[in-house]
Amino acid sequence: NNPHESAHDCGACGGRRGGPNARLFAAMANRPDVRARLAEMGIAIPADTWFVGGYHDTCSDLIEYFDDEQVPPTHLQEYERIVNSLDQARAWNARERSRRFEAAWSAETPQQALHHVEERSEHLAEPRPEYGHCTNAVAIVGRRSLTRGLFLDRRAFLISYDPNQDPEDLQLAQLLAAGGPVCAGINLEYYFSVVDNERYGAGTKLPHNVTGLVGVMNGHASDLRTGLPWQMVEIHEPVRLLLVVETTPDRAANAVSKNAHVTELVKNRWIRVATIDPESGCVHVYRDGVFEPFVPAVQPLPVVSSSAEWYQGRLEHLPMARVSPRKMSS
Amino acid sequence: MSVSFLICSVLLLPAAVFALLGLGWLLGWSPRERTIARITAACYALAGLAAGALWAQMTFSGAHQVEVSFGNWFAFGGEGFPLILRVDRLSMPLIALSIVLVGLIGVFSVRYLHREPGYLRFFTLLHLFAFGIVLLFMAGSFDLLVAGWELVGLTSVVLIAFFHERTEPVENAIRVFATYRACDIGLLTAVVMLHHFARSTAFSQLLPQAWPGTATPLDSSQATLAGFALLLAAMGKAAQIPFSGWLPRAMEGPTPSSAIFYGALSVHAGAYLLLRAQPILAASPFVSAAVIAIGVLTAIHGTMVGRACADAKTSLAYASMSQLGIIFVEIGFGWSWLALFHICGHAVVRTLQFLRAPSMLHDYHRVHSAAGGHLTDTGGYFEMLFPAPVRPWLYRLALDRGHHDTVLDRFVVGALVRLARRLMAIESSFLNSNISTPRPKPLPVLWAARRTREGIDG
Repeated sequence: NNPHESAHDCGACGGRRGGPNARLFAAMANRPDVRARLAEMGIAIPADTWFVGGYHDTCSDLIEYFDDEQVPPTHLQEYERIVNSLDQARAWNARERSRRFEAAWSAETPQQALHHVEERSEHLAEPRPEYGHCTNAVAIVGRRSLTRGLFLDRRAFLISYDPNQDPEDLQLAQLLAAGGPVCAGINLEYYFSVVDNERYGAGTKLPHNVTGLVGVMNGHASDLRTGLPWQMVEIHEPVRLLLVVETTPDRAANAVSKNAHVTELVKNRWIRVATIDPESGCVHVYRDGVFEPFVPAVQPLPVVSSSAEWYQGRLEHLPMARVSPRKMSS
Repeated sequence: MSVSFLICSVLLLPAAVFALLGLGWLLGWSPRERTIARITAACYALAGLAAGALWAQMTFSGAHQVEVSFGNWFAFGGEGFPLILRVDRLSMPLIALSIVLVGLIGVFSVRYLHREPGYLRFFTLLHLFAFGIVLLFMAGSFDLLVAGWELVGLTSVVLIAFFHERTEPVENAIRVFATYRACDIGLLTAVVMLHHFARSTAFSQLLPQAWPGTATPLDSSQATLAGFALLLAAMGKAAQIPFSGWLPRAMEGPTPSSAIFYGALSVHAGAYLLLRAQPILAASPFVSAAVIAIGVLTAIHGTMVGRACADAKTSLAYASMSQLGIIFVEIGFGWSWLALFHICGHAVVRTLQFLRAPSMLHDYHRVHSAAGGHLTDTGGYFEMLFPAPVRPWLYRLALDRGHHDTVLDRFVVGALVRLARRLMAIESSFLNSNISTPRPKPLPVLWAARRTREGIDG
């Protein structure tokens, strides 16, 4: 139930789904001649690698695997292991997401939560099928080891980047050119739609009337409603995106200046930028044209043994915590 | 379970829930959504069971109609307002359909209106509507039918104006209300006439045969007069031309209310009125011909304008209107059973289409991605009936919805307003010659003057 389809669709893909892209990429990368050409260009893919394309429906937490009948028999056991592990992951993801839904009060186990989100994605009367990018606040560009174990409450965009493999900052510039405007755009559309839903957003979904099969208007006759409807943004916190890059301030400034759009976003303060030094871990924040060192208040992160312990039964925004499964309560 | 107990429970369950929610609201009770949802579900589950049991009993006992009488509300000189409830082969399916559809809409709305500020208001009005429509279908006399009719009209108007913080819903709701009231003149006139002609409006007197019968004590001229008045009322409620401008405007309400009212139940109340009054229509060939003509014109109008609609709910509204035109044609020809089946089937299909209207883009995207592209245009046969030079004219006509609204605004409403202004001018010129226009009292100055005088004096 979503009259304003384009509000939920991917802004980066122009409203399309990424499944066919993944399938095509996997098909291409599995071909020996393609791999031979890549080896000539310096990208060596080991011979025992097999690519499988997949699609994760973020609303029903369904994962679809494409062309899995072509997986060679040597890899079948690994593939089964991965599928089982992803099944468990999507059930836990459903449970973690469901904490935000008032209607999911009865979904306690991961399987119940999975059932609940599947029903939600198909329910004809459900105006909040998923919260999507709602509550987004941070985009972290860096190695995964930087954030592993950190409970970010689904508020972060995570982009993989290794500063040690990018001496010229070319990769960083490309990532910022692609990811910067996209993440900033998503953050700003939620920001404005929640700050003034009647003027910048689309109002409540209830009177929406699909017009011309392109957009929505209210009721009998009105202007086309642009922006996001209230049901999508109601739990959003209007903060500008904080772009955290794992690199030194000079290299970050260098990468930003390589792209005019990103420069405009940063200079005009549409997004905030911070850097984490890959060696020392010092944080610098971009303020008034320069990167200033940031001294955090010394407050240890709470440590929990599982994320469920942290979010169980709580509907509101949660502060970050460190999830450390090996820690046993003493 | 006696039949009268079942009849009363089907009628009074929604009324009781309305009273509970309404009184509670007045007294400051703000129940949680889950409470309201549970009460609603229980009410319609019980009412559905009662309706099912009633239908089963009626079928097995072979009775074609059952009447329950509660005496007269008031009576004088041998006439009165009888409180009779009748359940027969016309009203039983419609009552069962109403209970089921309102229950369905209730379940839909529990999720759809989650966290909406007007949640309690919506459900209170939904229950009042359910009571009204069941009363309308169950009424055993035209007098009592008026009560149900008015309730249905009132609740539909208030639900159109559900989003009362914006002006368009309220403006459109007032327009719908005005159309309803203007056409209800027909119903009230008909009731008065029937009292005058037949001394009573009870169906047992006026329509002595079990439905679908054709016997009536009225003669041809009496039936013509009463029939035209009833036709006026039915035209307003069922959005026949020229009173059809209100139907697309009624889409200002939330989707479930659009579904239940303009897809399913409220618009068919007009058709029900004519079906119930079938003997009166049959006694007068003029009225029957008028019903057929209006039905045909409405069907053509509905399909033509529907082709120029750009948005989902309006095109569904016009589709609904064309079907209603066809139903009127069937009633005019006297094919009562066909009309009844048509009403029930249409109600169910249209409710589904309205409830699916918000998912329309999603459905289209799924179809397009499965088909690999946009679907080829098919049809256009209706347009091909007309020669090419005529089509732009028809398109403009369809875009302005047949100019009905403009004509009514300028020549009917405008004429009334001009008349009122002229009368007001006459009145104020008459008054001005005798009484001077009151000057605004300079109260603070007088008070200050009095205070200084008092100060001076004492």
